[in-house]
Amino acid sequence: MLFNSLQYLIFLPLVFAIYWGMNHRSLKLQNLLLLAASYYFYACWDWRFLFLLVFSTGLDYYTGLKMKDAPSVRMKKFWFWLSIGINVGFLGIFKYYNFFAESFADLLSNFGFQANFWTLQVILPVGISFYTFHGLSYVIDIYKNRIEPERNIVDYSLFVSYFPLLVAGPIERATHLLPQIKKKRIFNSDKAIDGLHQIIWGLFKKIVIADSCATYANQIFDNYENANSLTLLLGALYFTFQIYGDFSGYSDIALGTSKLFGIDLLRNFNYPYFSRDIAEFWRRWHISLSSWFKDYLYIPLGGSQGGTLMKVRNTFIIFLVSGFWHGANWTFIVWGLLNAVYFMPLLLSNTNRYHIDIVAKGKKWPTVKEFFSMSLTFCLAMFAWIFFRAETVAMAIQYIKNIFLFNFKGGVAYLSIDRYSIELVGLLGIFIVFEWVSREKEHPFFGRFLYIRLVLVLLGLLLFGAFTNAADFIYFQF
Amino acid sequence: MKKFLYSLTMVLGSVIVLLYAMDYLFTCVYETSQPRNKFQYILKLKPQTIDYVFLGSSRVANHIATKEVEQLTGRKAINLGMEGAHLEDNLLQLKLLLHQGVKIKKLFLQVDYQFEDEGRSPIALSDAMPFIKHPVVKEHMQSINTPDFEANYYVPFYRYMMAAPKIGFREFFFASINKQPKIDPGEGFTPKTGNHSFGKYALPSSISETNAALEGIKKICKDHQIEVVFFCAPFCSVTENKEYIRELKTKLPELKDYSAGYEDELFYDCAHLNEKGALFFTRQLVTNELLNEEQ
Repeated sequence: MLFNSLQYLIFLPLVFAIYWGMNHRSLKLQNLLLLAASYYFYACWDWRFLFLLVFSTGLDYYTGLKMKDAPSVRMKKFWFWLSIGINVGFLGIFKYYNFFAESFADLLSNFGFQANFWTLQVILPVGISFYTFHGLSYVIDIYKNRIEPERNIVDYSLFVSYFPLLVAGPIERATHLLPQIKKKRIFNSDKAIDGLHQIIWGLFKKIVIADSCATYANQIFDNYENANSLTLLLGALYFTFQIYGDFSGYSDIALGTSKLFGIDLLRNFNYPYFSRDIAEFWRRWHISLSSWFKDYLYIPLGGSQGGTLMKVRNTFIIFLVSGFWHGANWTFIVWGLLNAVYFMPLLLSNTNRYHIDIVAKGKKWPTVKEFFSMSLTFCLAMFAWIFFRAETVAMAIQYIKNIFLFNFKGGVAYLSIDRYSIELVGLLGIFIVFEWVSREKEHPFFGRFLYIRLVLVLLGLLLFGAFTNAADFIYFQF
Repeated sequence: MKKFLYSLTMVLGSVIVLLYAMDYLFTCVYETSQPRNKFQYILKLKPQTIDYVFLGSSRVANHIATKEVEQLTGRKAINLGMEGAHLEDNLLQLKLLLHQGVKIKKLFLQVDYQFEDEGRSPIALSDAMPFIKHPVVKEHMQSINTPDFEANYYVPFYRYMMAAPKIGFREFFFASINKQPKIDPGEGFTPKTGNHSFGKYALPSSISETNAALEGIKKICKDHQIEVVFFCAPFCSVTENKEYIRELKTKLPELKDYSAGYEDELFYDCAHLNEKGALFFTRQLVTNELLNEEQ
């Protein structure tokens, strides 16, 4: 069930009405309803993987309790590593087994050995990377004595499976979400209205920006061998907006939906394309994953406490793992490493926390320096996205090589052909203006002209939405 | 909760008002603007007699040089071929022509692999979507079980959202400023230029028993005493499964077969002639089916 489907349009109001219909009666019933709705939501993709989700939830719930009640440190460690092992094992089998088997076979063949490893013929369970990371953070927090294990199985299951975040995050923490699940929720009109507005903005980003850009980005990437430099640049630009519109649009719908039920989720995006350097970009892009890696990998590795070499090593590890988390393909690994390389000058000059505040806060326009910093960061991110989008590293390299051939013959074919959308470029310009104006808020619907903006966005949605070629959310595959 | 419900109502109300307003505006523009596609053109036709009407897909639009037909015969001709059209779409065009009071002396209908395509073509029929409330268009779409007919007919603006690449904002904008289309739909000939390398191209490997739209066209022509010529336009030399055309002739014995015998240099791609090829083919078709026959 996609957030932008008719099915969801029926599902959400129905769950909302029942949920608040039972207000003040029982928190338990509300949580049970949300859990049942979440399992139904997940089963709509493939009911068989529901068993995996339930098993994973049960495992972490049980091992969490066992760790707490363990008579010795050794037993606590046992239960901890059992949970980690099984969770990571599932992720490894479903997501990475084929990659390792094929890569190892390729490696052996380079040395003259022939190896045919058995590969799995199964589809990747949707959202496995997300709910596995929920469970891992919970187990690690208990092991480190940061939290107490949750004894109510319904509440814990809801924490893992809450439908707005189940398939593509944000990756929640027990310390943030569980207390909200356990607290009686009173309907708050302002929060619900805010949620409604955020859903509309998320739909706009997905249906208008991401899906429109996807049409052209796909065509250009699929025919990159025959395209000239300008067209290839346009393809990279379209994909840069596609992935942002797609994932941040999804996150907006998830956060907005959750607000309708009185629950706040972690913010996942904070206008990353207005970042002044790559470190700031990573504080604003997929925030819940970046902070997860920071808390559960970077800091345990020593973080920035050690010497320069240690900092460099840890940074490369974080970006490598982050790339690999996205998928079992060398393209993601190169994408991660490339971002680590971008990060190095900032790390070595100790300026990686230089830009913490929102750019041009309280001002209408950025300074020239800020403008150029943002443009440079955007270009670096766009360049890296070529690896993310390409099917193979060789394809990405060839794509980049073709850009630098500086072949401008024929202009930008995709803009001159009558059937293709020159207005999309204009639309992206308007989108950037909307984002710039609202960069101190979560969405553009605030202040005096709220209703006018809302109507404009709704009009844009109807006029420019790509309703016939609606694509799955990119991050579902992760 | 009241405040939220008010806000929700405002959003839903705005959406409904926008849907109705946009639907009204788009439909008005398509109905009143200068024709930019062949459905619009047909609906603007006044009652008249047209000697030769050519119907088919892009293999008519790219192949029949209307001016050449008029020069050779001294009669009025019109090319109503549409890219991606199925026979069902040609049937609708014919129904609309007759509804507009157009008398057709001779109809040329391209029949080849679209014999396998039952039902409408989503590409071609999108152009007719603004006119879904027109009695002929409505009856036709209902009769062929157009997917989402109810949604297209009753939900305001739905058809424009679903067929946006053809009749969405871009086309609406051009229509509203009466921008001249690249090709005059009154003449209808859209020549291809160049001679591209041919990829693998194959005709269907099996043939259907019948085609309902073809039968419909035959019946209308008989009822209105319109002489009809079924013809198959040329394919390049590397086309596979050419025996399909032989089998098609067993289903449609009156089919005039022009599928073979053309130099590859006359082709834009395997199924479409270039401008030089189109002129050559037009002359041959006119000579064989009109001039020789009249003599």
